[in-house]
Amino acid sequence: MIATILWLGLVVFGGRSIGEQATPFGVTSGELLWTVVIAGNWVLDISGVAWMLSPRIPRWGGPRLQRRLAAVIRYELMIGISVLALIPIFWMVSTSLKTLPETYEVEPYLLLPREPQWGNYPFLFTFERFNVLQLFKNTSLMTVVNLVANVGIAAFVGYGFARLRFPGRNLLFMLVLSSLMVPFIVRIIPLFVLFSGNTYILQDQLGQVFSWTIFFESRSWAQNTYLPLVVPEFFGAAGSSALYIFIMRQYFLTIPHELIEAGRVDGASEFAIWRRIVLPQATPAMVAVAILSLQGSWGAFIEPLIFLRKVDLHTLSIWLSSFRSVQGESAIQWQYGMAGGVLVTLPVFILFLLFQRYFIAGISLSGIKG
Amino acid sequence: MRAPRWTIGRREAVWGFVFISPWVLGFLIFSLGPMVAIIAWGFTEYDILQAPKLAGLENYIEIFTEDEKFLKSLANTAIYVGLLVPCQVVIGFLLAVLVNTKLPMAALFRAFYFLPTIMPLVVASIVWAWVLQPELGLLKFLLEDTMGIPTPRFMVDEYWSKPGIVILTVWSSIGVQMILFLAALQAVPPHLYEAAEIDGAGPLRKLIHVTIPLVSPTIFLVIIIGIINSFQVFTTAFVLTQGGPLDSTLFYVLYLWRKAFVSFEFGYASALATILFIIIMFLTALSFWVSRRLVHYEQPES
Repeated sequence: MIATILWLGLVVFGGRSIGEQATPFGVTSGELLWTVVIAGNWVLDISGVAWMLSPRIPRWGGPRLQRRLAAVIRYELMIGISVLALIPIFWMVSTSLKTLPETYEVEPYLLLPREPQWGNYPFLFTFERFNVLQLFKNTSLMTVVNLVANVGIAAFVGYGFARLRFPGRNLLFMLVLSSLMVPFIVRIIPLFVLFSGNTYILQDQLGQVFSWTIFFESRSWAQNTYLPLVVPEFFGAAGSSALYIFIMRQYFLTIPHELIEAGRVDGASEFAIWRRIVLPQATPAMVAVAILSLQGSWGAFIEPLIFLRKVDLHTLSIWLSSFRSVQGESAIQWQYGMAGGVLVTLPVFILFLLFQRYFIAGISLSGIKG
Repeated sequence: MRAPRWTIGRREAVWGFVFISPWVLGFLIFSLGPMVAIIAWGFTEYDILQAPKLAGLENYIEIFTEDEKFLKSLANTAIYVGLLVPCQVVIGFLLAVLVNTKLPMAALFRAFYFLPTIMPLVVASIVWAWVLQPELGLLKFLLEDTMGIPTPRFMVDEYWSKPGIVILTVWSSIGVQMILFLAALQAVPPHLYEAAEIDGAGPLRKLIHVTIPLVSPTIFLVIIIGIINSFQVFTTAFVLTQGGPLDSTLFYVLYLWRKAFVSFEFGYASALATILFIIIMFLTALSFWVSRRLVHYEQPES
């Protein structure tokens, strides 16, 4: 695996001018050499794994040597797979720094731009159709509001399910979990009708036809807002709210009974117990929920696509998808699409680096996404 | 003595309902209500311009007898799920086995494998649209131009468009499966391995007879989540191929989305949504039924 990567690296960065002599096999000596090295490397990798797995293959050398060999093979596989995982990200960054002609060059194929075009990034903010600064504002606002809603609601409801006994609790909690099974489109269509006042297509064409629709005579308050993307979150009824409630509940279950009991003996109300005693203990779980919620809202695509039909209301993800949906390949300017991708990804990557532990804790608790 | 205890219990119950009340409201308004509405609208003709008109079973009759795209999209989705979920389980498990080690730097590699998962799905999709691009893409260059391996034209070829989306999805979701399997692997009690070693079991035996039964609840979890999520695939197909080439990536929800939000046939779309919901419920129930026989749940030690 390593040899394959080395060879690819050499070919890509150094050209193919290694060993040009002809050999009887119809290929150049360099190619022959590399073929042998790469094939040998793969044979070693595969037989190494087989050797680690199967007891039938005789052991030689001491246990220390065996452990070292196993470690070498493991590292090799880990490095090789890392390259596979990271290549598309590298490619995104590299393309984002190219000029337009460079993205279309095939001979020679350019893995790195000749001269990094840092100007691609500021240029994104000069697009006429989309005001990217506005998009950043929209997306961050939605993300922050949803974060507050999700953390607050999950902590509140989760505590009810974890530590307060009431009839039907387990049944209701099963209902919470089973709501994960409801397809998002089943929730979105009625939501669309409910909030149709803020979709400009309908609003322009239909005026007040919908005044019968549920809830409100005048829907002007709901026009041109993010309400359908935000309101369900405040009721623990958005796509992944159930997971957040689940995470908080599991965490609350680990808080010692004595703490809560002590609060009750002191005559504190359940709300005060939750606010003063339980919440301060639950920071790790709240951070996990906050991060998952943040990541989810930041990259949300379907809901904004359906509910926000005015360009100045769009989110970053809609903007990015527009790079792709321009008809005709020639119209695509990949360097800007990739630069946009970097811009959108950067905040979540930084967040991941800072809070990696909570990210992973949240996911192993809930098994989200995928 | 009895009355006050009962009151304490009742007080707690009242508080319990207070705490869960936001969720109850949300459930009624944003989950149960919509479900009822969707089922009801399925029997109507509803173009959102006028109030729904009762149409009986017309939508369903049209879906099952005339609508070729319904069958096509359902088949597409089934193939996609059938390709994707086994990949997620197998690759996720192998990755977890690989990084389940105390060797130095293992945490770094775990973070590397997790990075694609952090990326917003839309970004991952356009990046892969560029990597898989048939003439200029990186994949074509690395495989075909340098190694001479013929590369399928992933986004243009009718038969390779679904595998293309599967590759993208595996890449962008494998971190989650890896983390889940890793947690399960680390929860396997070491004494079981020791016992197996005493019985003369080698690594492969240990894998088959100890590890896999003990992580089977996680395998089950990954499969269920995988089925529920991948049956609703939308974003990747929307960004990468928009349903093409030749409707080969017209997945169920993409088709439903077109019916609802492009041609505004809400009654028809509601009927489609009802069918989707039934399918997902059925598949989940089926997996639970199968898992009762296959999944090994460790008895908690008391």
